[in-house]
Amino acid sequence: MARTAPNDAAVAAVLGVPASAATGSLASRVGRAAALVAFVALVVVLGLTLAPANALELQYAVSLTLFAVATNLILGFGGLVSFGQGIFYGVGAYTVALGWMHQSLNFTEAMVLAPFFGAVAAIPLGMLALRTRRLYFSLLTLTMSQLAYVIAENQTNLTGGTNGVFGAMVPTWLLDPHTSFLFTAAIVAVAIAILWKVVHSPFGLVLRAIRDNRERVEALGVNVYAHELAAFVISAFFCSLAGSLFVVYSQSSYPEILNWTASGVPVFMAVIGGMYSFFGPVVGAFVYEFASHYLIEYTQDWQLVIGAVLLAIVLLRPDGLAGSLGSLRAWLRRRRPVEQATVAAAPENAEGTP
Amino acid sequence: MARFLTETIGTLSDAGSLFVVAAGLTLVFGAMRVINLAHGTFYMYGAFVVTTVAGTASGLRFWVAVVVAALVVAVLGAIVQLGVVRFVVGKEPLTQLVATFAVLYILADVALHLWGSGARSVSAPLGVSGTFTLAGAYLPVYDLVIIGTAVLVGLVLWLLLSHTSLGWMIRAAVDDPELLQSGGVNLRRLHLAVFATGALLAALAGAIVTPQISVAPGMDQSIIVSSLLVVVIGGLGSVVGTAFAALIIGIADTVGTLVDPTWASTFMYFAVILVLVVRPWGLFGTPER
Amino acid sequence: MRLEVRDVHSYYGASHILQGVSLTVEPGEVVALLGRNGAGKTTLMRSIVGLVRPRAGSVQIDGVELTGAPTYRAARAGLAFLPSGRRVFSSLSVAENLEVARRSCPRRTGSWNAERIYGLFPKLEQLSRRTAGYLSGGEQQMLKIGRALITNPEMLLLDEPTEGLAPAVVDELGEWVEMLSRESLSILLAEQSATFARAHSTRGYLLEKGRIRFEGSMERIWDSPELRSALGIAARTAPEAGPAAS
Repeated sequence: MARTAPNDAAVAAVLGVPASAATGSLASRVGRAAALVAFVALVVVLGLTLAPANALELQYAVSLTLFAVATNLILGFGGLVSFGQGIFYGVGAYTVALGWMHQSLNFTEAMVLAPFFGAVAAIPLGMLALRTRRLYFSLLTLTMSQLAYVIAENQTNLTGGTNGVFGAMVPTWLLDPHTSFLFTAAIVAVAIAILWKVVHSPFGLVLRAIRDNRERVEALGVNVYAHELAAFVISAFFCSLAGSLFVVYSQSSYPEILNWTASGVPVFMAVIGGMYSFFGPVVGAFVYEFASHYLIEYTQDWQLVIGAVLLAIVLLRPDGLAGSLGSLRAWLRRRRPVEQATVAAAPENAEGTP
Repeated sequence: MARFLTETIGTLSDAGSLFVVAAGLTLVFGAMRVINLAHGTFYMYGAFVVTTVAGTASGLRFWVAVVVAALVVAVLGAIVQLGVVRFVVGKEPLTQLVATFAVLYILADVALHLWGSGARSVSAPLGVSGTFTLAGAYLPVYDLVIIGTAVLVGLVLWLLLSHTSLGWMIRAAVDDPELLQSGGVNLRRLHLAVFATGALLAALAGAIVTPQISVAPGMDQSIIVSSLLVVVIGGLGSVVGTAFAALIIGIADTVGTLVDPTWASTFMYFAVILVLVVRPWGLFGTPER
Repeated sequence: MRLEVRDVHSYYGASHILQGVSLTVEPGEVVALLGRNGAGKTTLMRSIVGLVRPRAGSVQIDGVELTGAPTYRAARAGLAFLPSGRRVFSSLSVAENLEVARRSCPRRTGSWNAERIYGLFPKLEQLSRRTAGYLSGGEQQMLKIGRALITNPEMLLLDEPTEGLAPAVVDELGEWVEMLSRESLSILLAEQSATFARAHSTRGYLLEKGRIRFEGSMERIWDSPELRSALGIAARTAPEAGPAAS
């Protein structure tokens, strides 16, 4: 090993990636922080004052924001379109559920171990999946997700099969909806803060640089594969954490949380909210969860609504809602109207007339 | 021997219908570089249309229903192409995946309105129902219909792609779409034709299998996974590869069931993972440009 | 056919590649488009046929507006674009390549058909059943020209036709260009190799960083040390010293 890979901070400096996304004036940074605090406060107050059933739904939405943000680490910041993050979500959920069913782990142990199990599972899967690129990566992760689903469905002795695992796996102190909401919200807040740190660390900057210009980063001597694998594993860690929180919400685990459509959900959340923004997937998770859960009370056509929303966003607003907010803000300031959106749209459509 | 024959015919029949669906998917990918997650939706619509048109009568009306289903869904495919897919040609895979998944969701909802959430069934038409005996094995006659259809589709596709100028244009679009349109071809019209044909093939497969399955919502999501597996193993865009891969998947499934039923359904996934890890562009595909 | 490009601006993503380019090619004329790599020659040709959509400006042939029309219209109007490199349909045979080209512009008729193309390139006739991907560089060049001619065009846009060709093939190419020009086809010839362009065209444009820097006879370009250095040709006395590598 004559040559050592340059460290990420040095690479980030060479590439000229801004050290922090929180650019802009101090005032706007303070404003943004204030908005964030206000939003968190609102969610917490809502969670504590809403009727139990609604608090429980909000808790679910909050846990999904973690799933979406963790998936977006590789999707939006790594440029890796994975249709397999449901595997790790499922590993997290099944760790808690099976620990209880086979009486091998108590709840606390299982909650602590779940993300590590997910991360460990992600190492071989990531090593295989990252042998492929772009569309093939998506299709391979999709296949893995279906494989995990089929295993969970058919290994009845281990997993409880099609019906999954149901039961009193959550300790009594967590059964009160308001307590479990707070529990979930606290874990999600800490996890998202860590992910924020990851995205804005030199490692995160190099990851984005790989997404934007793989060849150039490779030319600098960076081990691109190792970075992508690390991101994949970190994402899996937090997806599993989100999955274990699913058990806190539903007191169950079943095969459907692993299949390819389930794996697609955090991707869709990120796309709806805006995958190039850190908090975009949070917005997307709330929108998606609201659409699929609350709409179903008013209309049977939730698939139609979600489909239409996805279609509208992907065709008209490739930046997602966060991108729209950004360009709206820019427009309000009368600086550069919708330039950002135009640039982000596909660079060259060889086909011709729109 | 009897057991072997039964398994072989069953495998060929499964592989046959899978080939017909997947051929449509791979044709669209090859000529348009679009991966269509709503392809399974066309299969489901084909099956549903047959249940509506064939009704309970079995006989000539069934065959009419199959033809009607294929044509109606080809028109549906054209609408999807004009309304959605043409905007994502040449875009990132993520954009294509999300847009076509949205179509899957929307059309699944529409199907619920049209056909409800219950399962429907159609009986095999007279003449091709029941079983026949061969070397002591009782074999469903209808399996032969499916195998025959698959062989016919394979032949027609081969003739189209190798002996007609339309087929050459489709292959030219696979090779170099930009060169094709700067030579004077209206690429959008070609895409429309290809996409409608892809939908037609999916619908044909869905229509032809109706006597053997229960037709219900959710078919779209399960068939798209199997056809993606086939297309990925065979190499995206390769019709020959698709035929081989459909056989591999069919055999993996049959052998899996014989070896260990609880692991049976995992065999084909392992096959796909193995192929992609060794040859990330599939058996008959070419590395991505 | 007369081609008129007026004040065209084109972008790739956010970069402003063509910054107001105007040029004309008169009927039967062979015009050179010179410039270094990255000057915008290819983008200009792609803008003319609509593979790149100009943000501003206009492209007209015989006074008819072509700007913003889908690419296939340019070919059907008689404007054949021959992109640089080995661009043939590599999985089709030679004969299939020609047939696809002919069918691409079904309404264009004239003296060019497969027979005449085989007459011009006997080699192609021998190889008519060979898969185009397996042809040599020179043979692919013949096929590229054949594909264009079979549509009976009135104007050819040749993008870097000499790129990567052996010197003997370049000479042949020169003969074909002369022959086509005698058939009164108009030709716009984008070249880095100024020697080839000089030998076969009368008038030229020098493109630099997306703008026309000079327009005039090839002799004037050749006689000006300044323009020659802009093209990256050393101030040699012997012009036939071979194409300048850049």
